[in-house]
Amino acid sequence: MTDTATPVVEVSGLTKRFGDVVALDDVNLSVRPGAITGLLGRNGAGKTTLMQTITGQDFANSGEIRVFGEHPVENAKVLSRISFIKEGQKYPDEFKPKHVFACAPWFYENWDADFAAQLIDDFQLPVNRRIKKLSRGQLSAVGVIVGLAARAPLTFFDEPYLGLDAVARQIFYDRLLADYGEHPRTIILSTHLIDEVANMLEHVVVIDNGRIIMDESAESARESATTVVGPRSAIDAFVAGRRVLHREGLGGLASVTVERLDADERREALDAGLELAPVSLQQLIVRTTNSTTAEFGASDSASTEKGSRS
Amino acid sequence: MTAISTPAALADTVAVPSATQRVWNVARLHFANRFSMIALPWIIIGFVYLVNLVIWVSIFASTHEQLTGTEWSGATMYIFVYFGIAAVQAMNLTFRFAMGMSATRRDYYLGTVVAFALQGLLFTAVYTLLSYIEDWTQGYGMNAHMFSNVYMGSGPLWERVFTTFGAFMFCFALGALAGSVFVRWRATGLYALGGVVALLTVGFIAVSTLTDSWPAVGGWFVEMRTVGVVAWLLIPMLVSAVIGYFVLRKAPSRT
Repeated sequence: MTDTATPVVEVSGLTKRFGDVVALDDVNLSVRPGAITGLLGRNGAGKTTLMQTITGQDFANSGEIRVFGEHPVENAKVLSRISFIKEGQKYPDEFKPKHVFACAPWFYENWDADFAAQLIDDFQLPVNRRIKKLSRGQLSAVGVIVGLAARAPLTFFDEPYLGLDAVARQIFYDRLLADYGEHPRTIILSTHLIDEVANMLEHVVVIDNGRIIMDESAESARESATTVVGPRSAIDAFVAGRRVLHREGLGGLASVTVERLDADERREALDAGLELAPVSLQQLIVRTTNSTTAEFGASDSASTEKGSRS
Repeated sequence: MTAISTPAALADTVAVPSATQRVWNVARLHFANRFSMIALPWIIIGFVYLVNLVIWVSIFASTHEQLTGTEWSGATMYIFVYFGIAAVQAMNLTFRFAMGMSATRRDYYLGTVVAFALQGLLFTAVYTLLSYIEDWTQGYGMNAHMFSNVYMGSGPLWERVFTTFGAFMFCFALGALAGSVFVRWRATGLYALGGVVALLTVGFIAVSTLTDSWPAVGGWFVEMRTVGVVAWLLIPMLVSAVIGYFVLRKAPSRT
């Protein structure tokens, strides 16, 4: 317990099934405090299910979950420190955004009404319109504002900005980073727009087919793969015996993404007249999730089924 | 155990509201939008009253005689049915909202009970007052009765309050059970619950018929009067409320 980085969230052996679909398959994960963690993966990979079980919204079939060191299900002490903003949040009929913002301070001790008012202004949200009549983007803005102004010690954003345009998304990123700087907390952000958030993330967790396939700092994740470009023959010689994540070629040139290269290997590549290029987080995730899908031979039917459910 | 920068310490900077406060927060949530919880029931009551009034006046105007039989009016029964259904709807929508606001299922259920009990008290107060107004005005001078009906709006004050509030809470408890079942098992659960209720009803009818005890059943209702019936209904009310609680405790909140 002397470790300053005692995890906020600790999950071990977590399994969740819906009928015969395994949404989470023996997941082990720990989230360190005071960082922005990206929870990334394809549709139906299990991101939402993982967050729902961690926040006690849904029940695990087996495995252990500890949040702030305690079991989260029906635990007011834990839950009152969590804000979980999800894409499909339901609101009572006839509710208007102003009703949501009136309720929120009752549930979030750190609620900052001034900040909320500023965000309402930023997103130009009509607070007096019935929620049913809001556009998809405005509906997302309601959730984003609650998640930011709540300042919960542990905040989950699950695809928070469906329907928000690029400008509004940038406002979200800017406000999130600025407020996070002033009020450090643990934030878990799940999104498809990996490139947009890549620079904000300090830690990356990638989930695919219900399994965690990557759990490392954003920096080491980016270094975990390199693209090597050069003449086909030189490339073939260099990558022989290595695990190739991706390959493309044009004429006599080839571009191959391989796993982490150490300093010696990098020198070797440069000596062979090859060029080394970094791999963006998005490319990396596309490559790794593709290759595991092929490896595990996951049936398409299973993933479509899950995709349609989430 | 240097707890200074452990997450427990980080989290401890946020005060946890007391259990009472958390339950009250959920109760308040039900009243956040005053329209559906406060305005709409009275609009419905007002409408039913208006329809009755038009009928009374048109009969009174054509016959110029005091009305007869209106004390058997079941017009206010709509309100009880409405509240039962409103409970199911309220639970369906506010449950997932409250869960999104990180409430526990326990606090949600208890807060919901508090909200509906408050609603029931308000409703009972006005209902009882209106029944006395009908008494004092001799049924608006036409011997018309809606609130001062023979079931709940007659007899001494305590009987009126008890029957109205008891019947209201009974409807709410059934609604809360149905709401919990719907939240947990969706429509499938409601069909199953409906099936169970239908079986119990049919079973009761069968037993009463086979044993030739319908006169005894009828006699029981007459003997018990509404006060006695409502007092007996407190048992299924409590059973429903308790089952509803345990059903909801395991209900997932998925999107």
